Amino acid sequence: MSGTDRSVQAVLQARARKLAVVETQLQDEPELQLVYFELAQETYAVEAHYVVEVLPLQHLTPLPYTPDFVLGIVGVHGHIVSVIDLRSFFDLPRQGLSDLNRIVILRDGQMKFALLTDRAVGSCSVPKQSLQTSQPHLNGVRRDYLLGISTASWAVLDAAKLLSSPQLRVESYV
Amino acid sequence: MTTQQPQLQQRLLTAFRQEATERLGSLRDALASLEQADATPDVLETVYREVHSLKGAARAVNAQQFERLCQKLESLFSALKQHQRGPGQGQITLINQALQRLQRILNSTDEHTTKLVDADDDTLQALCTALEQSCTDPDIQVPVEQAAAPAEVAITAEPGKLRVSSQALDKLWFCAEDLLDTRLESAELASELKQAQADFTCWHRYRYELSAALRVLQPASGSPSDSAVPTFTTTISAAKTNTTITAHASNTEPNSVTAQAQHSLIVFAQWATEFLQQWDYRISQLARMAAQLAMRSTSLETAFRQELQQVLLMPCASLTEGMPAMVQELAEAASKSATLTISGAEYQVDKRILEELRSPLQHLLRNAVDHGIETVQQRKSAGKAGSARLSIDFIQLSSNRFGLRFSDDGRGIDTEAVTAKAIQQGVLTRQQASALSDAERCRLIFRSGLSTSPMLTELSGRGLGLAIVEEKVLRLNGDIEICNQPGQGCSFMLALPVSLSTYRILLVRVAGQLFAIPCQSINRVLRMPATALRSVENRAVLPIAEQSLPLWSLADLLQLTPQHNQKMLQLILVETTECQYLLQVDEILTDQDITLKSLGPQLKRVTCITGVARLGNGQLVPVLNMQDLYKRACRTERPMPVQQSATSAERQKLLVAEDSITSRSLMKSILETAGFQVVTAVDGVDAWQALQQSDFAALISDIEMPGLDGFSLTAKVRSDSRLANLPVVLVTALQSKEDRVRGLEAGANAYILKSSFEQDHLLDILQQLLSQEQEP
Repeated sequence: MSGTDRSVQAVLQARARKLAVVETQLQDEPELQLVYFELAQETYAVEAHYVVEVLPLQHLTPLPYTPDFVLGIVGVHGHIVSVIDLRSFFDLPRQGLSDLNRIVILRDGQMKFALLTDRAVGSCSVPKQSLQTSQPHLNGVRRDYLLGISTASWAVLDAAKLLSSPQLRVESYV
Repeated sequence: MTTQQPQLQQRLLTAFRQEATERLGSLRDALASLEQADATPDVLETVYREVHSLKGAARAVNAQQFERLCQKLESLFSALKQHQRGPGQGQITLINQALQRLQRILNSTDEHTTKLVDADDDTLQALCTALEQSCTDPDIQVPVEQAAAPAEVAITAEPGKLRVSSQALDKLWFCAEDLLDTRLESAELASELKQAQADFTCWHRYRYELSAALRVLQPASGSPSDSAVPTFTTTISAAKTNTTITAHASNTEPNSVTAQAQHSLIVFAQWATEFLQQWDYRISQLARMAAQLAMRSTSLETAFRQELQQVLLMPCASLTEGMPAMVQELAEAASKSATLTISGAEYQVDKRILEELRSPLQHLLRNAVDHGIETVQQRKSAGKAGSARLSIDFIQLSSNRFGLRFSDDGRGIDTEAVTAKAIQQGVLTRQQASALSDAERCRLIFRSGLSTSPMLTELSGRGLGLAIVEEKVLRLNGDIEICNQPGQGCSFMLALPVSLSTYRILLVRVAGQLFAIPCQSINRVLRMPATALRSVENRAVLPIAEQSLPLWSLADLLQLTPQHNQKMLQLILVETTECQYLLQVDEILTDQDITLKSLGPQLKRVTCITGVARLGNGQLVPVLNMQDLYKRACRTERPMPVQQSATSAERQKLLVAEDSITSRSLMKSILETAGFQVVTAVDGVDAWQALQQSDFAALISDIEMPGLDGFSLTAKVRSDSRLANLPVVLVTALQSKEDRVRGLEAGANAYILKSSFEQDHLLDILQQLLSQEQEP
C-alpha cells in the first residue's frame, strides 16, 4: 500500500467516525411506517402499507346523488377510484380545491378509495410505542377512526377501519 | 431458501384449489348428465380423464387422502369404461358422496398451517372401501348407448389454445386503459411541440434582417480600435429586442471599451443566430418525431384494444358451467325433478359480460325451479313428463348482439295473480291494470318489491330477485323479453351485446357538466320552443304524437343549477319498458361507443347512476340510470323550474330593488331558478320608475339605498292607487326592532333579515303572499 493510499484511508476513516451515530435499538422496537398529509390545518397519517399511490388531484368528476363526503371520481391507471373528503366525514372546516391537493389511494382486500389531502405528503417511520392511544381532546366521528396520536401530534388514522367502515360505503336505491 | 418454501407451497395450494374446484364442477355436471341421460362413451371418457387429472394435481400438493379418494374413483370409472356401461344408481350415489367429500377437503383450511385438512377418518375409509367394492360388484347395470351424442361438458384443450387466468386478463385490460393515457399524453406532447415550432416562425422573420445587419457590422468587428466608424451608429431596428447599438463618439468613456462591448454583442448576436437556427431545426425535428410517436401510439393502442377484445371472447359454456348440477340440486331440494339442457354454448362472448350474467342467470334458474315448474305429480296430472325440462340456448342475433333464451316447460306466469298482487301493493291502480296488455302484465314480475308469492309454491318474498335480473341486464345495455304460455311454460329472452365496448351513449351537457344517457333507452331527441309546453296537474308536459309526455329538467333531477330561459328546449325522449318521458338538457353533444365501468368498490350503487364512461380524451362521464331517474322524478315534490317556465305566459314578474350588485344578482338567480321573471332596479328611484312602466306581481326591496330608501319606496307604493295592493317584501341588514316596526308601518307585507336570509324562506314568503293575492 502506497503512502497516498494510506492517507486516503485515514481521511475516509476520519469521515466515517465523524458521521457515525450509535445505532438505535431497531430490532427491539416495532416501527410504524407512516404516510402523512395535511388536512384542515392538521397533520394526519396512515400506515404506509395501506397506501397504494399518492397522486395530484386531477380531472375530478363530481357525482350527483352521493353523500357529501364523496368528492367525486378519478381515473387511475384505467381503474375508477372514488375520492373521499374526510373533512366532510369528520365535520372539519372545508376550503376550496387548489393545485396542491393530493390524493392518497388506500387499499385493503376488496376495498379501495382515495383520501383528499390539502397539501403535499411525506413518509416516515415512528416507533409503535410512541403512539399515544388515548385521545381525550378528540371527539366525534374522528375518534372512532384513530389509531393514536404520534409524538409530533399527528393524528394517525386507522386505515383498516376506514377501509372496512360501512359508513363510508355507498349503496343507495331510489 | 427456507422462507421461499412456504410461499411456494402456498402458491401451489392456491393453484390446486382453483384447478380442483373447476374439475369438481365439471365432474358434477357430467355426473348429472350421466344420471339423467343415458351414458355415452364420450362422457365416461371425459369423467375418467378429469378424475385422473385431479389425482395428479392432488399428488403435486401432497394431499394424500384427496389423492387416495381420486384413485378409487378413477378405478371405478376405469372399470365402467372397460365394461362399456354407465354407472348404476348406487354407484352414482357413491360417486356423489365422494365428490362432496373432495369438495369438503378442498374448502377446509387448517388455521395454523393454512394447509388443507386432509385427514384420514372412518367415513373416508368407508367411502374408499365402498368404491372399491363397487368396481367389481356394480349393483345395477345401465347399458351404454352407442349413439355418440355430443358431450355436454367436455373440457378438452383445443390445440393452439392456452389457459389464462381471468385475473391476468383483467390486469391486461387495465393496462390497455393505461395505454390510453399514454396515448393521450403523447398526443398532447406532440401538439405542444407543434406549437413551439409555430412560435419559431416569428424568429424566421427577424433572422434575415439580423444577419443582414450583422454583415454590415462584420468588417468593423474584427478591429475594435476602429470603433469610431459611423457604421456603428446604425440602428438595428429590426432586431427582436429593438436594441439600439450606438457608438458615442464623443462620450466620456474610452472608445476601446465601447468597441469591446460592441464586439461582444456582435459575436453574441452571431452565436445566437446560429444557436436559434439549430434549435429551430431541432424543435421541428422533435415535433415531427412526437407527431409520429403520437400516431404510432394511437394505432398501437387501438390495435391492442381490439386484439384484447378478441382475447376476452370466451365460449358461453364458461357461463353455464355447474348449472346443470345446480338445477338438479335445487329441484331435489324442492322435491321436484328437472333437467337443464344447453345449446349454442360454443358461441363466443366477452368474458366480462358472461361474468356479469352469471348471477342473473342463477336467479332465473332458481326462480324457474321454485316457482315455474310443478311437482312431478302436478306435471303428470297435467299430462306432461314428470321431469321438467329447462333449457338455455345461445343464439347469435346480429354481428354484435347475442341472445340468451332461458325457457322452462312449467306452468308459466299467472298474469292475473301478478296483476292482482301489483294492485294490492299499490304498484298500479285497477284502472291502469286493465289497460295493460298481457306482455305488460308479465313484465310486472320485474318490479322490485313485488313479491311473486301468488305464483310460487312454498317460498315467498323473492320479488327482488327478478328486479335484480332486469337491472343487471339493462346495465349491460341489454333487454329482456318474456314469452309466456300459461300452462305450457315460460321463456325469457335476453338480448345482449357481444362486447362490452359496444355500449352506445348520448353525451349531454347539463349545468356545465357532462352526462351520458344510454342510447338503448332513447327514442329520439327533439328541439322544441319553450312555448310548446303545457302544464297538467302542476307538472310540465309536452304533447307529442297525440300523447302528453311528462317533462323534467335533468339539471333539476340531478340537483344542479339549471340554465335559465332557453327559448328552444333541447329534449330527449326517453323510452324504457317501464316508462316514457322527456328530459330537458342544456346541450346535446354527440353519441359514441363507450366501455361502461363501475364506480369502484366504495360506490357500490349510486342512485340514478349506472356507471362511468371514459371518453377518448380521458374524461370520466357518469352514465345515467334512466329507470332510477324516472322513479326519482315521479317522487320529486318540489315544483319543477321547467314547469314554471312552461307556463311562461303566466310567469309572474317580480321587481327587485337593491343597490348592492352581489345581493342583486344573488336574489335574481334565486328567484329565476324558482321560475319567476325578474326585473332589477339599482335604487328606490329606479324601482319607482319601473313600477310606473309595467305591472309586477311583487316588489322585493332593500332598505338602505341611495336616494329613495326602502321605507319611503314602500310608503310611496302604498299611497299609489294602482299599486296599493302590491305585495312588498323588505330585505335588509338592519336588525333593530324599531326598523321592523317602521317597515311594517310603511306598509310592507314581510320583512326578511339578510343575516337570516335563506332562499327557501324568501320563496316561502313570496309563495304565501302571491297566493293570498290571488284568492280574494
